Amino acid sequence: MANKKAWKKMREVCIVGVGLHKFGRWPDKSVGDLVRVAMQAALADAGAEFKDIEAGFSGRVQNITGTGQAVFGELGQRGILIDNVEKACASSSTAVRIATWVIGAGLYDVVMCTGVEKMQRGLVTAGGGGPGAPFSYLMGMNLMPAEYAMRARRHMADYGTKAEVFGQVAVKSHKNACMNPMAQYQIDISLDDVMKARLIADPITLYMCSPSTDGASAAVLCAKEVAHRFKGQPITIAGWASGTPEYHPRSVGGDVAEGFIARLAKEAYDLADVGPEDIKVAQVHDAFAPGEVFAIEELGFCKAGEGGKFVWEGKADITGEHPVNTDGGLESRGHPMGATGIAQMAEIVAQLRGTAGPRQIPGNPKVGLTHNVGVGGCNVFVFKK
Amino acid sequence: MTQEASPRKQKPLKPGIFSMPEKPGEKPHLVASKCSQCGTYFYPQRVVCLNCGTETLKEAPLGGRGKVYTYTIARQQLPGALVKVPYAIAIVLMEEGCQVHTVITEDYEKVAVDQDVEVYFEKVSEDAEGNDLLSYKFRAVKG
Repeated sequence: MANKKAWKKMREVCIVGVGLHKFGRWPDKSVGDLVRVAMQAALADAGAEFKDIEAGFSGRVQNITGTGQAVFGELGQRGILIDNVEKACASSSTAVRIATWVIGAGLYDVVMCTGVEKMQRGLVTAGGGGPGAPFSYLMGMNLMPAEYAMRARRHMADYGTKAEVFGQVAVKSHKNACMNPMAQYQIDISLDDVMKARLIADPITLYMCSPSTDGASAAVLCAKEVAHRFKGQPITIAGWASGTPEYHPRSVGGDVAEGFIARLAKEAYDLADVGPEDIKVAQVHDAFAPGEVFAIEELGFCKAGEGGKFVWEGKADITGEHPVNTDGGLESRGHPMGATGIAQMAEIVAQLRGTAGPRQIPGNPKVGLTHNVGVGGCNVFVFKK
Repeated sequence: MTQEASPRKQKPLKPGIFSMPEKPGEKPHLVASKCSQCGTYFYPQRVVCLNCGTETLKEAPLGGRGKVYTYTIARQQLPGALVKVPYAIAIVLMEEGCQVHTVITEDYEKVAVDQDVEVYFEKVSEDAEGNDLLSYKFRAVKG
C-alpha cells in the first residue's frame, strides 16, 4: 500500500476537465476520431489548450502499441512525453494514477490522460479456439461472465440472495442511462425484461452483462496550485489505492476475488481521510450486474451479504443514501474497456460539480469514488471538491 | 469403430493437466504440486509456493474428490471450445485443500454449492494421428 506520509507530502492533484466521445457502435470512426473528440471536449471543459499539456498517458487494451502517440498526434506534434498504459479494463484509471505521481512529485504541472477502445461484437474471448488454445479455453471455462456468476452463486448460497436483486441492478443502471446522453443504451427495462432475457451464465442474463462498445474518454489533470490557470472547476484526487487479490483457496479470484476490494477501499479512505459513510456517489465496475452488489459490500456501504437488499431497497438509486452508477454503469453507459476508468471519473466530476443534469444526485455531494477492475487488478479513487 | 485394427492411444488434451496410467489396471489421475515446507497443494502445478514462498514443490497426485465451492451454468457458447452449452463450470475444493476449475456435463442442472463430486476422464477430441484426447471432468459422487 502507498505510504500515507509520502502521499501527503506530494502536491495535490486535481481534474480540471473531462470529456467523452459518446459510447456506442461507431464502425465508421477510427480510434483517433473517437479520442480526438474526447480530448477536445476535456480541453474545452478545462478551458485549456493542447499547448498547455506537458505529458500524456493513454489507456487502451486491444492493439495498444503506439496508440498514445497516434491519438495525441491527432491534436498536434509538440514533442511531449507520451506513455501507453495497459491494465485490462482498468487501463485509463491506471493512466490517471500515473499522472498523480508525475504531477504530485512536481515533475509536470498539466497532464492529459485518455482511454479508448473499439471492440468486436459479442463475447470478449482470450484468443478463441483451435488446437493452440489453452486447456481452460478448449474446455469452455474461459467464459468471462462465469467468474461473476460463480461468485454470485456462492453469494446466493451463503446469504440467501435472490437472482432478482442482480436483475434490479440492471434495471437501475438502464434507468439511469436514460438520463445520460453519452450512454450507449437509453432503454428503460423492467425487472421482468431482465429476468426473462436469455441466460448467459446462470444467474446472469443478457441484460446483466456490459455490452461491447466503441468509445473514448479524456481528462485534464493538474497540480492544485496551478488549477487557477483554468476555468474548469477542479475536483481533487483525495486518495487512491491499487492492488491485486491475495492468495486464498476459498475464493473465485480474478475481478471478483473475495476481500481485496475491501482492503483497497480502506487504504483509499485512509489516504483521503474519509470513511464509507462520506462517499455520496460511487461509480463501480459492474461488468456484470452482480459486480455492483459485491462492490457495494466491499466498499463498506453495507455489511457483507446485504448488498442485494441495499440495491433492492433503492439505497443505490440516484435518490438513495449511496447512489451507485448514476451514469448507467458499465452495463448501460457501455464498457469500451480502455475508456471505462476515465468515464467513471467524468461522472464523479459532473456529480461533484453539480452539473449532471437530470441525473444529478441531490444534497450537494462533496465526496465521490470510482472502482475500476481489470483482470484482477483494481484501482479505487476518492475524489473531493 | 472403424479403426479397431490399430488400437488408439489415449493422451491428455494438453500435457501436464493429468497423468495417464503407466501400467495396465491403473487409472489416470490429476497431478498437483505439493509444498514440502508447508504442505499446501496447488492445481495446476506451479514452481513457487503461494502460501510460504519456497520453491520446494513436488508433484503429488490428487485423490480426485472434493466439494463444489461454487458454479454457474454456461448457456453462451465459447467459439471453438470443445464443450457445448449448456454445461456447468465449477470450482471444486479438493480434499487436499486446493482448487480445481472444471466443467460438469453430467447432470449439470443438479450441481449445487457444497455438493460432493469426483473426477473422471473422458474423450473430448482427437489429434491428427487419430489418438483420443482426454480431459478431466467432475460429476456427483454416486450413492
